[in-house]
Amino acid sequence: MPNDTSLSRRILFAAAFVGGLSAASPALAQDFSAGWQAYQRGEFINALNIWTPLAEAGSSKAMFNIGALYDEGRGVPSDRKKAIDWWSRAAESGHAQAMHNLALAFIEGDGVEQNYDRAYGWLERAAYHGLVRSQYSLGKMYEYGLGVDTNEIRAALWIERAAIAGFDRAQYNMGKRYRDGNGVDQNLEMAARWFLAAARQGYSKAQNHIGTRYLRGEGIAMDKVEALKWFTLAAEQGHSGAAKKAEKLKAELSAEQLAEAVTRAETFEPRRATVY
Amino acid sequence: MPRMLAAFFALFLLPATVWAQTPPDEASAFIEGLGARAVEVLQDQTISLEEREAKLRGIVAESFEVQEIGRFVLDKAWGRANEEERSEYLDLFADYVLQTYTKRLGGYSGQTLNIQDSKVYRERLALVSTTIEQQGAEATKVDWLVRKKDGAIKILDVVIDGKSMTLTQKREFASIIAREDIGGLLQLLRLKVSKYSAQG
Repeated sequence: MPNDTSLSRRILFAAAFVGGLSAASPALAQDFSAGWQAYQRGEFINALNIWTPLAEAGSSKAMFNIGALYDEGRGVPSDRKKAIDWWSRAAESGHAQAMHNLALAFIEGDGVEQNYDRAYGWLERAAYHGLVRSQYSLGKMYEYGLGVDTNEIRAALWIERAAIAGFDRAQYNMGKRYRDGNGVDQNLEMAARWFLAAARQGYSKAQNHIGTRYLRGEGIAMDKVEALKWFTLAAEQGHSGAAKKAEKLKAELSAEQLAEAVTRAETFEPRRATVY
Repeated sequence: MPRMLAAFFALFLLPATVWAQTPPDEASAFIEGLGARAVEVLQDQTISLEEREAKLRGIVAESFEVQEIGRFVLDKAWGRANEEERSEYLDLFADYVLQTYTKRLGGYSGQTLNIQDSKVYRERLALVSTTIEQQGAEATKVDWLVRKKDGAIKILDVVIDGKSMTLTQKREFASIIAREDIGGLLQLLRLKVSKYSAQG
């Protein structure tokens, strides 16, 4: 048990430390923000000069951004080794986006020796921090057996997590999984619901797929007007398959139905969607 | 390097379609116009860097033969890929190329693009030689291989200081495909386009 003097000293030290932090933090935040404003103006060297002392003082956000400047060659020659060094420091400090980028570097083997185990480890940590891109990527590692044994059930679990969080590509992938019974029990209604969620967010491949579901009445009530709306929206984004289906379907619809489909497509606005 | 590149395109692309010669004066005007549009977007300080780069991405998308370059870069693996893999690959490749060029161009601030030369290349292509100059820094030599098809000029390759971006990508992808086949390449591209940039 500490004596009174020692306890007092500890309290004083703790108070000074907390006081120091509360005084320093707003200043650090202000400096970081000044760096961000310089970055926004395209003054990348200025941003680097502002963020470097902050990073040296332990700011993981500054470390991460410096890594990104070196990776993309903004204001400095592109230097993967420096980028990875800064991202490693940021990741060790708990910065989730740095973990994700570092995992990518280990998979690529660019600027660092390829190492799937380390890539998996960082991706998993980032995924548990809630990064949907990392959750989706982990699912794909299981799907393709990259650094892990192929496991469609685990793949589906990680991808569904990203889908529930609203990641459109993951939602589209879950649509296909439920359609084919891949890693999940086949369920055409769930397939349609996931395709529809991704389509509502504006993902063209999902718009093409949900158009097909509406056309066939597969997992969702048949509705040819709705089918044409989704084919039209996908075609507008350059989906050639959807454009062909739209042309074919137009020949089957009345003038009123065509007009309704056009109105629905014109008034469509992408928005966040999920199935739960 | 440009000669070797043109030979590749002559082998892989020319037999597939028929198009007219690409006039060098039109080619240089196209590249000059592209540079001017890019500078105009990049100098607009009323919107964020992300918004400026989104606009720039649209300009890059219009200006590059992304899908054709994607098929060329995949080389023989294209023939082995199934329809779903091809579709995903082209989507991911387009995202990756647009992101790469946009960030590269977005990184240029206060620089000027100067046309040095423009000439016919391999009969139907044109090669526009430019320099990107900035005060206090050595000029970067950038050549643009372009083609006129269906009345529109588009970029097939960018050669920076003698290094072809398309051939570099082709070599990089070939080594990944040799190691991990197309599944590995798709995963790599997925990760490349999912990389996080600087955050506010």
